[in-house]
Amino acid sequence: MNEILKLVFPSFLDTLYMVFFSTLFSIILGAPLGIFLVLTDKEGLLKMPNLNSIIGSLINITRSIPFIILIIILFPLSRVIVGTTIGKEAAVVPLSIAAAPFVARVVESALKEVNKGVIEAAVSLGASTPQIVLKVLIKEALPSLILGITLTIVNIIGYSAMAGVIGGGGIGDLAVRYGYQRFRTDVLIVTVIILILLVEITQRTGNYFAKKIDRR
Amino acid sequence: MIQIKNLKKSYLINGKKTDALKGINLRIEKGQVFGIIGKSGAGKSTLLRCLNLLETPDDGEIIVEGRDITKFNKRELRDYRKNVSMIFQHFNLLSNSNVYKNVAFPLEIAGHKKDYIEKRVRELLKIVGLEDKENEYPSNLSGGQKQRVAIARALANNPKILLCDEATSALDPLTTKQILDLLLELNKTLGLTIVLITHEMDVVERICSNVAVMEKGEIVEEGIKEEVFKSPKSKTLKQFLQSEKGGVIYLDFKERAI
Repeated sequence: MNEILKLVFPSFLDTLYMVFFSTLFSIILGAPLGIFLVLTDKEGLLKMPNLNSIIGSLINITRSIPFIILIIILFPLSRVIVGTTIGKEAAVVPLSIAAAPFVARVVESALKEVNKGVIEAAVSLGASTPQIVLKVLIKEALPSLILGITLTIVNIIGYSAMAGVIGGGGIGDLAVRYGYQRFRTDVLIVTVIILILLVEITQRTGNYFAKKIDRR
Repeated sequence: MIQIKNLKKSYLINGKKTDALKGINLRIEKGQVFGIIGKSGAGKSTLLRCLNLLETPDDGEIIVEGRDITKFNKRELRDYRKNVSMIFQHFNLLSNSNVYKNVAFPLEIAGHKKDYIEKRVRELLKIVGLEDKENEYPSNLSGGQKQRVAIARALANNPKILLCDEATSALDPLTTKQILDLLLELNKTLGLTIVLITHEMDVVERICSNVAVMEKGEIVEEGIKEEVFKSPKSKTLKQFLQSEKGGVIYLDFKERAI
């Protein structure tokens, strides 16, 4: 048992590392895109339907590429940004880029739920578009946004295990090297249990905070 | 104070052009409580929403204190909107912000300092009689209380004009009376010009000084309330006045069903 723990713990930390930074960068990339989609919608505050549909299509294309293929496509980019295509740092690049369009859609749908009347009231009070985004859209949609980000993290946990298959590091990598290639079923089972726990804890935490701040 | 000249607006509905406003001319003076009445689809909501450019008119002028607001750039429009507030049928409060934050919202976006905001919010909550509710969230308030918060929010930046979009239509009769009393008091004490649209005759009778009747995108009669009501000319007003007396509620009901 001690031996398994010694094997699993560093991998677990690597997984946390990948999930944390991939979530962070995917939000940095995806959230502005999602806000942009809402604003440029034909009923949005900045109505630009053509640009909106171009960005929408780009997001759809990225989302339709299977993750495992996306990683291969993005190998050169990983090399440019982090200098290698192997290990936890390298995996953050494709993970972030794969999750960003997902975040964009999550943010878009959360913001679109905001009552149109409330936005109209803010406009009628003389609020500018940035003020409406920050003080109305994001604030009103915060519970949905938290649930959406939770969903994103859960997806990234799954993807990060997949990234392990082609040298991404973390729990997935361990499962492949020991559980699959060396027939160590015990290691495989421990990695699966850890992934289940990780997803469960993430989801419960997200639900808790979303519920706590929801005053609707 | 507000002069509307030949205002036109049309919409494309299922590819068909529909005129909502067919050349409206109207004058609203400072300090008036001006009621615009009409049936659903008569264009009264579109007209009201043109007054703060939530709707952009296709043609015509809206001159407020000597300036044509339809020519405003974005910045001028935002400043203008701080002088012309609006309250709504469904209140449109920020649901994830408490009463205090809702009333502070227009002050924050106007860039006021924190201690001024605090002082002003307390002042406003006192005016609308909600001093003890500043930490409540809208979902815990009654309809009347929500509309009071909305009124406090609308008054925050000392507007000269208040636009009321069916502001009492979602309230029960007693609450409606209380809200109308509050609006009338604000009209008297602050000199606030009020433009309201409604389909409730009761509202017009209670607080309006002037009234305009709309039918199919046009103003069919207009003037001082007492005079207009004494000799109604339009079909709409005749029907409204009759159904008030209880005579042809059936007719009204039948029309609504269609």
